Order: sequence, then C-alpha cells, then structure tokens
Amino acid sequence: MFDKSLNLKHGEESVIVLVGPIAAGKGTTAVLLIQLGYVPFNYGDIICIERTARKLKEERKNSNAVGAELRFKFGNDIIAKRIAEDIKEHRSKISTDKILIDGLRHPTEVLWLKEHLGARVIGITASQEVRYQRTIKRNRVVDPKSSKEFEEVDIEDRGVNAGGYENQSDACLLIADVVIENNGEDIEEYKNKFYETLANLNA
Amino acid sequence: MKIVLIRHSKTERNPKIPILQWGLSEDGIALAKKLSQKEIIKKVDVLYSSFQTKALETSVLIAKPNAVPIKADDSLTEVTSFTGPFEKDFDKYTKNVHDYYLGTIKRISGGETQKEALKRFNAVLESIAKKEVGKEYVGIVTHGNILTLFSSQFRHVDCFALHTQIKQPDVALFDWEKKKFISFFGEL
Repeated sequence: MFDKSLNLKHGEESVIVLVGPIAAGKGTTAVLLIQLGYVPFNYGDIICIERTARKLKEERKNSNAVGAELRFKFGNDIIAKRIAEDIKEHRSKISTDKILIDGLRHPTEVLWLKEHLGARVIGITASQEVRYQRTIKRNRVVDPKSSKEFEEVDIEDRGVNAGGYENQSDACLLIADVVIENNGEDIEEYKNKFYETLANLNA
Repeated sequence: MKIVLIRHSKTERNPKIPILQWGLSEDGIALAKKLSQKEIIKKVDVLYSSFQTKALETSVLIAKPNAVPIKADDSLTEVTSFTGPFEKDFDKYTKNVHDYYLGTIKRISGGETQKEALKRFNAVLESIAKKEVGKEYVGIVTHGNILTLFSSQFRHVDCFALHTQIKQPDVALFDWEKKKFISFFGEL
C-alpha cells in the first residue's frame, strides 16, 4: 500500500534529506519514512560521537559548537561527507535503496548530498508558536523550557544572525525541493499531506 | 524457521502525546544498543517492526549495526485496548489490565478484545512466515501485551503476571514449525 505511494521502480534508489527548524515535525516525518523502509542516518549521530569525544554534556549549545567547529576545521560539507561514508559502509554490508538523512543544519551539507547522492530535500516547517508548544509537550532534555529560551535557541538554529560555520536551518529550507507546512495537530492529516508530497517528489 | 520475538526497549512515557508516538527514553536507547550486540540478534536475517515509534526506534538501533533489513507492518502493533488515551491513574490502569486479562472487561476504550488481537497477530505472523520462507531467523519487534497473549497460546502462564515480567527490551525464541518456545522472555 505504501510502496505504491512512492512511485519507485523496483531497486530504484531514493535518498531523502529532511530539513527544518526545531520541532517542525522532522522526527514524525522520519518515523513515516522508516515505516516505508527508509534507513535513517542522522546528523545528530555524527555530532554525538564528536561531542562525546570532547567530553561535553548533551546540550544544544554544545552540539551547535561541535558542528561549527567541524565545519571550520574541515569545511562546511564535512558532516554530509561523514554521513555519506556511513551510508557507504552500510551499503557494503546490505543492499539499501531507501536512505533517509535527518537533521542537517547547514545548506552546504544539503547541497553536497544533492550533488553527490542525488538526494531530494523535504523541508518541514511550522510557526514559531506551534513549534514552541510542541517542545513543551515533548519535553526532551535538550529542549528549551520557556518561551524566551525557545526564541533564543530558535534564532540560533535558524541562523538568523549566523556566520558561515553555524547552523542555518532557514537557509536549508530555501534549497529544499519541497516544503511542507505542518501547523496542525492532526497526525492523520499530516500523514496524508506527507505521502502526497513524497509521491509527487518521487514521480 | 525461528521467530525472534522482541519487546521494544524502555519507553519515554509522555501523557501529553499519543501513546502510539511515544519514543524510547535515554535508558531505552542505551538498552537497545546493548541488545544489538546479543548473538541472537546478530543471527536475525530480517526484522519486522510494529509501526509504533518505540518499536521502530528499537528496530533501527538493533538492526542497523548488524546490517539487518527492516520491514514495518502495522499489524504488529500492540493490543489496541492499550493504545488509546493514557490512563494517568496507575491503580485504575492496573485494574483495567487485570480485568482485561481476567475477561471481566472485553475491551478498553473501544480497542480489541483478546481474541481479536490474537487473531490479527497470528495472521500477520503467518503471512510473514510465508513471505520469508527459507530464512532461518526472523525478528519481530512488537509490544508487551500482544506478546503476552501470543505466549499464552503455547505456555500455561498467568497473563496478568507475565505482562509485567516481560522487560523492555526482552527477547524470546520461538520455533515456528514446532510451535513452541525454545527460550522464553528473560532467559536469553
């Protein structure tokens, strides 16, 4: 049922990159893609390895700093290249047609994956208020706990005043092949919207 | 064919979001990673997962390091009597579960009866076994109550007690042809 919605021929590769600001719905979308057989590779996994190596706590500011440091030292596309290495290693063990790359934060990373893996980029966004309410509901350790804190973290993540190496999720949205507005609460409605988008993207 | 029955790893309970969307806790992530190193998991040829977030997250964490393909099937979901609105009152929840297994209540929040849930789960296992003929080890990542009901068909168990004994995560090995457990939850 779901494979039909993808319009993929047997054995055809599909690499999907998800981008968007904090709490836009990337995690929910990733789950929908995994249900469809996509194998996830995450920006967060690369950052986690590097952050742990530096003995830094799991805090958003530390993760952001590690990302910026890696880009400064090795180039803005370094995290995309590391993910591509992981994908290559995974594919050397098992045939994998459907790849999901989640959580990229810099436009150079996204462009690199478009160019080298033929990735199609889905942007997911929602209003700041909706996203703030979602962070309160989901209450992850790294999530901001007040409206003011959310605003500060959000501005940093979106790259409103960012330099070349820092997170710029707004700029990632600008180069997405398609952007889904996800302001609703109804998961079924979002699912339908997403499957339709995916079918059009892969058509 | 051996069926490796796996209960998802430890869950982050969050009453503000639907149970179907609950993911793994930090502990749960660590436990799933540890589980991925077990010999029985390394033997799995293909892993089927329930659609629920906690099951999919567990599946990814145990399958990816072992290069095991994942397939998702919504029919592997939990007994739907336990996926409705979250019951915050623990005593009330426990009584509901107790009465459900005792048979004094047939459904919770309009969800499946025991019979309906088992029929659905047995059917999906049959279908998976047919699809995966020739595979030696087929993994199934699913949920505590449906595993309890499934187990009760082959072992004399107190379902109410068993549903609390199957850990998050936990594994059992089931011989599909002989229809018997080779090892039970908590033994591997």
